[in-house]
Amino acid sequence: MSNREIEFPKEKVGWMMLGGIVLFHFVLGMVPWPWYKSAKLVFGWMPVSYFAGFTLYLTEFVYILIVGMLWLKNSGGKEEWKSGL
Amino acid sequence: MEKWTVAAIVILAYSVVMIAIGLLAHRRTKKRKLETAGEYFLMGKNIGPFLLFWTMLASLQSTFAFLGTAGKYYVEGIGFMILPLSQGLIISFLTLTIGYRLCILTKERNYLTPTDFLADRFHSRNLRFLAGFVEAFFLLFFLAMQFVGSAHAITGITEGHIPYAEALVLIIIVTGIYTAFGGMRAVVWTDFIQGVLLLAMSLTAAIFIADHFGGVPAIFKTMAQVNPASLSIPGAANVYTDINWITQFLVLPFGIWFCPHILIRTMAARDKRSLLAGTLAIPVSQIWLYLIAGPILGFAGYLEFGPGLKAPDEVIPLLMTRYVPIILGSLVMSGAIAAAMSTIDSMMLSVSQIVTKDFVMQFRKISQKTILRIGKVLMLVIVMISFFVAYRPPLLLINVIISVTYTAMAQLAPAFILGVYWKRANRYGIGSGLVVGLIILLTTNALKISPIGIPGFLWAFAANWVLCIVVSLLTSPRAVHG
Repeated sequence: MSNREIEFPKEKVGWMMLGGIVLFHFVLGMVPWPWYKSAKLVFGWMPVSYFAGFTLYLTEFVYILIVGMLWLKNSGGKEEWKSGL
Repeated sequence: MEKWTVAAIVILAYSVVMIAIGLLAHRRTKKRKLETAGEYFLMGKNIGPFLLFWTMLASLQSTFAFLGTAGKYYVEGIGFMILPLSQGLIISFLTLTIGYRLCILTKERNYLTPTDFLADRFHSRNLRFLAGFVEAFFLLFFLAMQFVGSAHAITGITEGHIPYAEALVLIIIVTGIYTAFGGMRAVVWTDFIQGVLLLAMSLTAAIFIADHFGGVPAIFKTMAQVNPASLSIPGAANVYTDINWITQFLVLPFGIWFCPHILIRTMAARDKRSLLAGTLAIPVSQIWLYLIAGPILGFAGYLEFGPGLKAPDEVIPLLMTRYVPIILGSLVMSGAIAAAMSTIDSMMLSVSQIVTKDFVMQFRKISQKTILRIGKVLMLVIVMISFFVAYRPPLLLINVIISVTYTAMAQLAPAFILGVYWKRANRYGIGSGLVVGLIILLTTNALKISPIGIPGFLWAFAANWVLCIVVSLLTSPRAVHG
């Protein structure tokens, strides 16, 4: 280990992910909205609760993918490590 | 040929393949003269995107993801989807931010364990010991419980012809050999096979069973008539009340990500691309196992057996026995064993790694060769301890430890997050937060109390964050780095 001070990160990905967490995790996910409580069927067979949860998770997945791709694309700067990455 | 014989042959063949991979990994490392601690414990810090995806997936998803999920949907209904909903985004966030930072520092400063970061950042050996103890202690008991689950799975698949004790010995010997010989390289490659097997077999089971019940829409439509409460929250078992739903989102994902066998994988990533692949393994496997296969199999089990099953985890084995050909059924159940083994091997290696680096290596300077020797000997010790705990589990103690494992790991979150993002955080703040958080967690759990209706784990988590911040602000700024 080195005695050099540890540098603090400045990546934007943290903020983008944090925004996603506030929206998807805390607002749409954590609050027990009425649609999670409904046993009605949509499309004639799928429970509304299941449809809501599945859609939310798929949207989150797409969001993670987009933020992750942007994160890869914007490589460079001080926060990159020195071993050729 | 009898059903159990086919199952036993499948299990033995699978075990031979796993051991062969371990020995091949060992041979490769020896041949290329790569016998260093970094190679053994972190695969040379060079795990590429493909392997990181699979090893993350397999390490994260244990037998529970396969057998337990169906059982949970069977008992608790659709509300169980709270589990994946509460995890994906925060775990991904932690991987791309804290994981990325740890990955950089692991390469630059030659870290071997997550607590290397804490010791380095806060210049505190005591903090290393404390965090290392939390990680190793809870993971060790959790490991023992994985042994229990997988041994029961083997006994179940072979209809009791391989008794519990023998099944336990088999699992311990197989995982012990390939992990001790091949280190992380063997674990990662076996994880690949185990991960593929887990996903393929869970999907196969879901397709076969859904087909038998007239398709997925038919399963849901019948459930809506037979047990509509299970298709909404709080669910038929009234588990997912509003307060339960809310609190699940706050602590659990941190607990999962800060489990050392997950955290260590981010440290071993080759580059950003690998980290992103590892991140995507989480939502992909969660959707697959928890949102597709789990509800189909769980609800089909309800329609088939009604609400009276004494061991809901046996929904899948029972369905397989009734509706799937013997060989395919055995293969499907080998997916469950693969899921257990892939978590067991990662945990075994992590505990050995933590004890070697965070304790043994702190008291004397030792050569790379000796580190490896100690790591392998410790692996044997861990295996023996796990065997004795798993053979006759001390139920009361185990129940307390297992019920707080993830929430105890979550206690490490403030240390790492503030360590990475807040310059002012110091060792006094982090240390006091961690100690007080753990005391609150264990006390409220042992006494089974939830002050003002809020679970103890939430009080513990909140107290930890508050203390970390307040004590850091109140103590000398000189303690920031020394």
